[in-house]
Amino acid sequence: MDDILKNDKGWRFQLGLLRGASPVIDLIGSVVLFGIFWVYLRSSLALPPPLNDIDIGAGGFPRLLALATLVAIVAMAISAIYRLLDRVPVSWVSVRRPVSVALTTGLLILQSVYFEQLGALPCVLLFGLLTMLACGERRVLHLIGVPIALAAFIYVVFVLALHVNLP
Amino acid sequence: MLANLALGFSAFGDPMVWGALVFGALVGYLIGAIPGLGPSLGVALLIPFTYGVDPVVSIVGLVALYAAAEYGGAITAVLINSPGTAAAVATAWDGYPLTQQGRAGEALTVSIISSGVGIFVSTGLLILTAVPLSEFALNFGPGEYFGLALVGLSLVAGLSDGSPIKGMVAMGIGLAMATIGLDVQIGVPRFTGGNYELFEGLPLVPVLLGLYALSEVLFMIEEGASAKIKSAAVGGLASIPYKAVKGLKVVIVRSSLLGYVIGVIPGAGASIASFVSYAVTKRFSKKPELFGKGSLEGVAASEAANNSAVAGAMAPLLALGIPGSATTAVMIGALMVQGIQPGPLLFTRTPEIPYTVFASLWIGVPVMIFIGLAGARIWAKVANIPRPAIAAIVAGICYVGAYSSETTMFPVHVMTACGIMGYVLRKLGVPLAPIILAMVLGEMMETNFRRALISNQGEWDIFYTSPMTVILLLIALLAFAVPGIAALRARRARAEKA
Repeated sequence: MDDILKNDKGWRFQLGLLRGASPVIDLIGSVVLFGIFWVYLRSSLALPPPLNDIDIGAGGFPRLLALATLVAIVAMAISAIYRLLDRVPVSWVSVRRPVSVALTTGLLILQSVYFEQLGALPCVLLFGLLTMLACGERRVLHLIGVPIALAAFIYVVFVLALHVNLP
Repeated sequence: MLANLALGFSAFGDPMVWGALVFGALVGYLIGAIPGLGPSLGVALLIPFTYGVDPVVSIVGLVALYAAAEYGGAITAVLINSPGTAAAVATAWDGYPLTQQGRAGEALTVSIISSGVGIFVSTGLLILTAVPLSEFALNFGPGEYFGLALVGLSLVAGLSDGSPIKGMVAMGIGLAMATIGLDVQIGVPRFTGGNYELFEGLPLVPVLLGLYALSEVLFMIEEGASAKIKSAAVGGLASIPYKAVKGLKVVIVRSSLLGYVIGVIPGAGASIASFVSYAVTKRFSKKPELFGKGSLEGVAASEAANNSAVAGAMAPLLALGIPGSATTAVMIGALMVQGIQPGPLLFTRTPEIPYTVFASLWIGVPVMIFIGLAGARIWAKVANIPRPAIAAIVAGICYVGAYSSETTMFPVHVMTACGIMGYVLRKLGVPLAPIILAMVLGEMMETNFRRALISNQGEWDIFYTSPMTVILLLIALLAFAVPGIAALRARRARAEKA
């Protein structure tokens, strides 16, 4: 990894920007996906056998699928290694404003956890405001006005027009 | 056919259908004019608004949105050099230079009229081809159906942005997601982890909302509060440049035909249609030197083709049940929510659905041209809606829409997970369209694969003895091999240069 860093093909963290070499990201992604599909393959092998000889059973198709996808993932990893060693300059994958992205991801998870307890409209108001703040909005009128207008729109369309029972 | 077409037009006796058409067109323009938001996201966001609404009304709204979003992308491309959709990139090449020359009104009028003619011509072709295609598909056996689904998937995965290998991985992810739930033939739970809510499989609408809409929110967060874009003054919209349009009729008709043919090919879509049509028009133009510097021919070619591809993409969707693009994959999800299963039987069991689609595409043309021309100044300003506001609106509709799909929290959790997954996968360069397509086609593929084997007493030769199946499987193979080899060659050429 040190060599990779020395060769300007590794990670770099700057304020407001997180970026990594595309082949390195692909390699990490391949490892994660390989793990997921390995578990998927093992689960498919554990499924009951077919009821008769002419069928492949519940696990037959997933097994074939897992094997084909594992081959594709290995090919993705090989391609990433090839690109790392190649003379062609690597491309970069960047995440701008990584702290805001991480915060918003947390907000989305929180919203999905507390959506029912807080209620749909209070959730839209609160998380709408927080999402706008995370996105860099600082104008008070916009921060207040947009969530209120959105909540009103949702109330009119979903509750009054479509008769959806929102929490 | 004429009786069924009359049935389709008769749907417009209902004011609700007109309302859906206008609403869909307005939302489509709005979505299309905002750079970064495409028709796929628009259709996904509109699905929650169709719960409990009559299927015909819903489908008219969705089709209008799809077509208008493709129109809308051109407006910002012409006025501020910021294509609202990928298919409008070629429009910006000549549209914006025309704006800089003070001919924005002329460029917009030509783009909107070309779009309208594109849709009109291609809808005629759609009617002529979709019905025979569906009748031909009625003769397909399970082996052919499996091959057909694989071809649709492979073409979308192989031709999508990024490497074909990643397209294949995306296809695997989507198919794996489709296998979650009870096995369709013997009822065994698969990959559910004991969660009974997964027994019916992953709910499609929350997956669509998560992958396409919620992941986009995270990309908007990355962009932050963007600066205002200065819009050019738009003049001369009221006057249609008849002379200019008359001189472009060959270009418009040729591009419409080309756009339709390319649109029918799964995976090709509106962007490729507009680029190919632009290149062909430049090749045959008497003034090729004007291309890229402000050619009305360039604008007309791109717009007629990309809008024509909308009707083209509808052909495999309606006739075969195979969506050929990301937007039609989302659309098939919307149809399924309404209990409609596209495919050959759609034309015999519920002819009012496909024929209403045809009628709405035709009736929608003048409506969309009017909305486009009358509101051009407004649509140009839409690109300036602050990103934070759009992010909050999209996220809010996603959560409420996901909850409304089953009025439980399970779809909300699925959507959040898919949103984060969609963001990570897009960062990895894994395309989302094959995932959605695979999820939609997964069950059909597996069922036909197993049926084919059972009908052949478990012998695998059914996949290489039927000529049609062999052809389809070969096309599927080539869909990965050809772009893969091309990418490898391009890389070698770059390496030699370096």
